[in-house]
Amino acid sequence: MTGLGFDHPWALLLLPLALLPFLVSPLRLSGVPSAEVAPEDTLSRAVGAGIVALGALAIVLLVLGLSGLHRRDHVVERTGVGANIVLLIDRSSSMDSTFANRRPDGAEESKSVAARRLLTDFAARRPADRVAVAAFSTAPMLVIPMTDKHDAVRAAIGAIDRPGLAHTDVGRGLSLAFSMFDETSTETSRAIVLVSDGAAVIDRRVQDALRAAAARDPVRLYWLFLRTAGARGITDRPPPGDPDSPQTYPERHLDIFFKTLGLPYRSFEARSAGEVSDAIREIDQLEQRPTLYSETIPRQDLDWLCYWAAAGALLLLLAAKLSERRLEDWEGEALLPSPLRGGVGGGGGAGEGATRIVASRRRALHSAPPPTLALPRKGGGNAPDVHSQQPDSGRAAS
Amino acid sequence: MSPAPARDGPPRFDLPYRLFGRARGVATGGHKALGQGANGAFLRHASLLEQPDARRIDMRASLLDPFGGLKVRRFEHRARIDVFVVLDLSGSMSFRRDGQGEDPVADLCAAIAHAAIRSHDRFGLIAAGPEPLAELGVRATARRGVPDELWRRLSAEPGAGRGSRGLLAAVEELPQRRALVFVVSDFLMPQAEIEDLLGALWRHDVAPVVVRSSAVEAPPPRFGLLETRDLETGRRRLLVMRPSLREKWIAHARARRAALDESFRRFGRPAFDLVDRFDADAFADHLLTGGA
Amino acid sequence: MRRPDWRTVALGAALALGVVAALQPETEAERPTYDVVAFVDITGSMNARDYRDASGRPQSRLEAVKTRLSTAVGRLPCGSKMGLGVFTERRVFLLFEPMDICRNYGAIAGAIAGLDWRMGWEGDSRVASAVFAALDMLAPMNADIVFLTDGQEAPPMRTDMPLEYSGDKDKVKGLLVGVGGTELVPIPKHDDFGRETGFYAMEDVPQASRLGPPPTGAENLPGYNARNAPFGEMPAGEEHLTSVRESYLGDLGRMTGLGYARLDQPDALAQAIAANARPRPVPVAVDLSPLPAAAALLALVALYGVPPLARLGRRRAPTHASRSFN
Repeated sequence: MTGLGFDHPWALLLLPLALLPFLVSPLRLSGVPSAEVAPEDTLSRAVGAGIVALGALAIVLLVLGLSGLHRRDHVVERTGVGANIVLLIDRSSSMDSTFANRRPDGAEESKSVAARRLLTDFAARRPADRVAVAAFSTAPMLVIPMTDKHDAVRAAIGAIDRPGLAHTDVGRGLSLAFSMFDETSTETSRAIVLVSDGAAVIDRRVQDALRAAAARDPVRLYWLFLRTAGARGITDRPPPGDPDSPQTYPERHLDIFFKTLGLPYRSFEARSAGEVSDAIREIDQLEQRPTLYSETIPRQDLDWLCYWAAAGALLLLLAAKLSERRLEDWEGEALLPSPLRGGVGGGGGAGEGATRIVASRRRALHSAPPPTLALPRKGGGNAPDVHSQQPDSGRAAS
Repeated sequence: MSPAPARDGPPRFDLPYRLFGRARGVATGGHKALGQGANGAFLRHASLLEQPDARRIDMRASLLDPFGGLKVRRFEHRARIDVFVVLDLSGSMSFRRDGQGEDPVADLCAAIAHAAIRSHDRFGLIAAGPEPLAELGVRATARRGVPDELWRRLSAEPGAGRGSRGLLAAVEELPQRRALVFVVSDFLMPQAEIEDLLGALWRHDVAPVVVRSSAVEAPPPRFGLLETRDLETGRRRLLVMRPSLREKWIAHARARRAALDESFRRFGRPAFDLVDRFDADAFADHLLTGGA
Repeated sequence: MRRPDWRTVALGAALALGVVAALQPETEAERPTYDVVAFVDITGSMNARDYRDASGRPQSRLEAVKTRLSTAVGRLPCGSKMGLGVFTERRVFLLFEPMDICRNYGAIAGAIAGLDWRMGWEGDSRVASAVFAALDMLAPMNADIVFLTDGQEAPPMRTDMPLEYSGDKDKVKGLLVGVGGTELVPIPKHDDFGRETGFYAMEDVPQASRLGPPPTGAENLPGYNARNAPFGEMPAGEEHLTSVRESYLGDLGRMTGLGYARLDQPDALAQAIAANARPRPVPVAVDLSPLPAAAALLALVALYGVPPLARLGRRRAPTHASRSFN
């Protein structure tokens, strides 16, 4: 399903760096005697939290971007019109000759080349199909499991004109084909398309197995018989008197066997590439059923999104930083009147001499000794005296 | 007499501080004290029999006495007091006291020391942050060099630490005798702590000095973001400066100051506001009108 | 205006770098891709169990090939193509032509998982002939070969008739991959229904080649009979046991211009394929955005990280300075 992935998950180890903004502020701080000097303010608190969050967010986003955040390619289930098809292709060496049973030359293509060409078209026309490819000859071979990757189907069909093997073991090929439907293929849309240019006797045990498989997994069966000139056809009956045995008329008996399976079955006998094409078109028209198929949405890189978001956060942070104010640049404004100077004072009565000192200005204040000064000891408070005591003052005081 | 040369801080002046109530103590000084003395303000007349001091016979009063008794003049006793500064040196006090510019606290303390010693009182200082700072303290002394020395030491000691609990412990060292105690602090502590401190000083005449800075009481008027850091706790706060917040801020500061005033009045005197810089005239005015 | 705070500069730099990263600068680079067809030996000797799976249980050579090959091709760079074929007897059978690995990995992995020794159409195992046939097949397809086999010729090769390769050594590149252990192990035997019925014994398999005319001097071999036993009697041998024939595969590789590697972990196999197949450079866009993004992150970390570090340093240094007076 939809999931996020990382190209470099180890970069996520840098995520704890996002704690830094909680500890440090990008703004220059102004020391104040106490946090309580400023009143509570909701807006300020929100903005403060916002600045912390922006810093953390910017770091988180950059780290996410660096770790290559992406949305994984994911598979979307879609319903379409098509089928789940197993292409069961004969790869016996007789497929390498032409319909006229000759070595292929420039003018005439071999049966396998024609089948390859027409089946490739068939697969390309039907995007909603899920296709599996199996080959059979002496032994059955799974080529591609059920897939909706049409590339893969094309590559598998592309290999069918390679030189084939000796025999044609239809029965085991079919039982492989039955086993290739997976759970995701809806039952009503299952089809097997058997492409062969001949038939063979099916072992009785294999026949039983096929009957059991047909009863278990009902599929529609198409047999595209590429009839070579001079070979027997599906409908050819033996002339009276000839033994009518599977050994002598394998095609006819295979057809009969298919009919006894109790499956929706059709056979097409094609004597030329044109007839193959017609048959395939007919199968195409018949196999139009609602199917569930999956489409892969390729991965989407999200790092650019992270970077843009980080840049946005940084822009806001920069704006905050640029509107930074500091108490250090501010001398203050004596707006607050001193309560005493506001005329509150006067609690204690003025002592004697008080009026005189109040009247005097600074100069008078420091030049006049207190009027009630008792007799000075040791020569009074001369300034030179004060300084002469300095050298030992520290020791004395501590 | 000329002021001391301003080598260690600004020029210092005498300050008209006074002790509320009468001082106790035998050492002669400049403050009204309990008891009678030989000098100073006239107190009453006494009989020569009661006070056989022939030098102070008030002839006029003796003549006017209908009983003809000899009257001797009695004077108030004037005693020396101890002037103490209890200085809060917690982290919050380091605001704008980085040793570069003016240091109003050092100026104030040195001025008090100077004035006290000049007035033949003894000066002492107790400093504390979260812990008592014994090495900064000054025992009650009348030594002349103390103001300058103190100024230099305080200028170099901006204050550090969280809370001013140390003050409460440190004030135990104050003398038992009633003294004039200037409590110098920004009082940016919980109200209960302030009252504990003032309560512990019940014995003394307490004159609070509130160290304030107008920069933090009225923030800059421009729009912008201001992030403050509590010098004590290190707590950060972001503030979106705008006119409405500025008004709230100023009102907040006013309210805090008013609450402080309330406490101070309950414990005696109103406080002196040491705003931004030490203004000796203002301090003198304060002492004359509201304080000692 | 005063000189801006360095933090403003750091923020501005981070912003600018973030925008640059968001614009996704790209550069063109070439990435090697590979176009290979893997042929898997599905002869009987591949059923010998001398590998161990992830949980340590014995695993047949074919199963080991299936798990490791599909992992290894997943490690090839995107854009690489892979086809698949099987080999028994003296020929190879192409299941599908090369297709894009990244886009069709599921189908490829499914096809590899579907490989089975029962696909084999004959019991013989003429490795050299099959390699030659595979090379012939691939030459027009312009694909390289990965031939996974244990190198066991059955029946054995004639020792007196040297092997020769007449094709062009440079037409197809690639490698032979030796599958199996170096210890001799028995080969499981199956009956007509594919059930395992034990192991091959010495008498079950020819221990020496009987193909072609008898060698000169065969008259002197024990059991020689001109009509019934022109090669002499079947010698005793170890052809019913199997191990990977590394030296033989190495010789075969040198003869055909192919490399040789032992089947090991998938990464090693992917590396071996990359080393031996012809790289086909395809232009790919290389995203340069991590560079500015990393620089932006660095600027942010400096913005947030330097002040506390500086504070830490300051706290450590001046313990004497604050109390210098006393």
